[in-house]
Amino acid sequence: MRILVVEDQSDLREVVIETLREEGYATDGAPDGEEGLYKALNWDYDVIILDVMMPIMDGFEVLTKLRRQKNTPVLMLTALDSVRDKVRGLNSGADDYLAKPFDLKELLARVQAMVRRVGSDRNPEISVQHLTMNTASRTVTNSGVPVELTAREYAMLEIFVRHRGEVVTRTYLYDHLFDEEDESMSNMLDVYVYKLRQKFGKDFIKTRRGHGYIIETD
Amino acid sequence: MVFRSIRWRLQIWHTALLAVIVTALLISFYYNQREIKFQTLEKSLADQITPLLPNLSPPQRVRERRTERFNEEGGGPPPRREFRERGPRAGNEGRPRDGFPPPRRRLGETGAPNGPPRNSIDTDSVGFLEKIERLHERNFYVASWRRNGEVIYLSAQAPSNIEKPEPNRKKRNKVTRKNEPYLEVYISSPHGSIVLVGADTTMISQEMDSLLWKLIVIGLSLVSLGFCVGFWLTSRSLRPIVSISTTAADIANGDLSQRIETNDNHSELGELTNVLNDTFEKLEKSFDQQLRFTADASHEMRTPISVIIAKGQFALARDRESEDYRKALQTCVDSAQHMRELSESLLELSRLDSGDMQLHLESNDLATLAESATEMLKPLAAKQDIQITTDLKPAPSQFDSQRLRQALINLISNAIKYSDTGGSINISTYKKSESIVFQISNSGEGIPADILPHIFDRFYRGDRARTHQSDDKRSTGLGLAITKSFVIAHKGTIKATSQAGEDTVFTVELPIV
Repeated sequence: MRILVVEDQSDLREVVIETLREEGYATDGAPDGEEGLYKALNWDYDVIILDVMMPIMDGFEVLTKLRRQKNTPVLMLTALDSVRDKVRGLNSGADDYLAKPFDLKELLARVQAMVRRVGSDRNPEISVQHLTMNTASRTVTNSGVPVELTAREYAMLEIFVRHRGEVVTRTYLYDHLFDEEDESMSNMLDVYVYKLRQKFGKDFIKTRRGHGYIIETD
Repeated sequence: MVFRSIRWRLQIWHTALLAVIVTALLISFYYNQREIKFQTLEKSLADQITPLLPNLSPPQRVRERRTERFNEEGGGPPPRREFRERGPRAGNEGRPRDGFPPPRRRLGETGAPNGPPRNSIDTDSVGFLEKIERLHERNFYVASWRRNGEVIYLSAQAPSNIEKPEPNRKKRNKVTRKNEPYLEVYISSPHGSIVLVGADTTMISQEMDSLLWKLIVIGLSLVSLGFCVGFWLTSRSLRPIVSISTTAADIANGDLSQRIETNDNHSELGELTNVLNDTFEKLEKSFDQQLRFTADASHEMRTPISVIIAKGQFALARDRESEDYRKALQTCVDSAQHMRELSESLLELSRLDSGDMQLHLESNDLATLAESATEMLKPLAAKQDIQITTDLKPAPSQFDSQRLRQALINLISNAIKYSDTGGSINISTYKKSESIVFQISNSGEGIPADILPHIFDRFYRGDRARTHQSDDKRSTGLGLAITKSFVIAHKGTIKATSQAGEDTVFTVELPIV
């Protein structure tokens, strides 16, 4: 999952980015609306966290312009919690609204809920073959046995599981696992695939040469 | 409660006044009418018997006829009365005796069916009286006495308790005989003979009664009409007051955007309405301003609070290095400091708003203050390679040194912040005839025309695009607002002149106290 955080308060932005990264999300940041819009239009984010009160271009403007081109899920953050602003935000195309000061845990939960909403997986629990994944608790069991995964490993696995039955390209994987500050080389992807195969079985993730990877559904 | 209402008080007083006037008028009309009626009757009665006056003087013999009448009355025959000798009668010479004209002789007239010897005077009188009697209604009677009380004539329908009038009795009397009201009129000759005529006044009473009822009805109608007209008039005049009350009540319930409608700008009520509308306007603006301020203030507070919560939660989310904890704690403390500054500033501003600001005035010199503030900020200026030049002429007055110092520091540090690197700042103080002046100018980008009017607004952070410096969290946006409030508290003025690309100049002027 790759997330964009657009927030002018640097302290707050840094904290949110760090938190998300620790949870395994590849996260980028933008300190104002203009830069935020630019990044949002040029990369495929899974979720955008957007502050309302910002210099140069405020959140509403960013949202309106973004919606002309993309359907990326947007969570709006603001210190204004009047009904008028909530309504305006939701009507402009936001998917959710969170008032400051907020609980980090609540932020995380809402982000995950939004990701769920986008896919067809409303149920946090997804099962494919011998694996069961709970996207709310971010845990995985292999034939009922819980499996330990690093944040990155979980992130990659989640992408595969959410796209089960479809081919996932390396490019997609790269874009959604590493943020702009990550200097990892693309062959890191092979490392993570290897590790996952070690834990779930060699045939669990199949390679389609020239295309990408796939977890087949039964 | 009715008596508290102006309209009802007006109504009641005016209607009462009207009622009193109408009643007075009608009463006097009534009595006037009564008087007229009685006088008319009296006159007609008097007219009828006055011709008899000359015939009254000589003593006369009582006629037998009267005996019957007395019997009818139930009394016995009258006691024989002495005939009084009177003096020789006045002759035809016309020489009046006792002031009376010569008696007239009526020939051919006699009213005596009984045939007693015709005594001209008596017969004439009696005949006359009988004639009069016959002409009138039943309830009309005549009576006649000599001075000694001897009855000359008494008509049949005369009441039993009729009496010869005493000499000092009024010429006209209302009496009650036979339980009915009568009017008696009598005339007397100089000899003391009396002719009395009485008439029933029942009809007059009846007429007066009916008149009374008519007058009562008229009176009540007039008063009611007056009341209704008054009611309508006062309603019309007082309607604006009612509308004012209603609107004021609405406003008291929170809808300050309402205004009282009126087309009338000239009457007293119209003026009142205009004044009230103006007041509501001011109130509405003031409340709006308060609301906005409060909203802005809490918004401002939320930002540092969000940082503290987020940073704290992040630090606690998992085990971390002590360096991470240290950084997180530092951020929390910084944000808390920011909040403290914010709340102090807000308190100062609210003191000014409520007029609560107590200035501690002391004699001081603006130049001294400027000097010390500049010294304090020189290191900061040096960091940006900014040159500060001063031209501090004495500018003494009385002012709140602590607050003005804060204001000067704010202005100087702003100048440093917004100056370009290597730029220059010039500070001067001087005294005018009635005021002291502090002026500071700095080179730099200047303030664009669209921003300039807002720089003293609360929470307005000059150039939002510029504040990517890490000290954006330090800026409360209230510095200039507070500076301005201090200046205003001293009854002074503060002005800023600038243009994009030009130097910026701030001027503070305070009246000398």
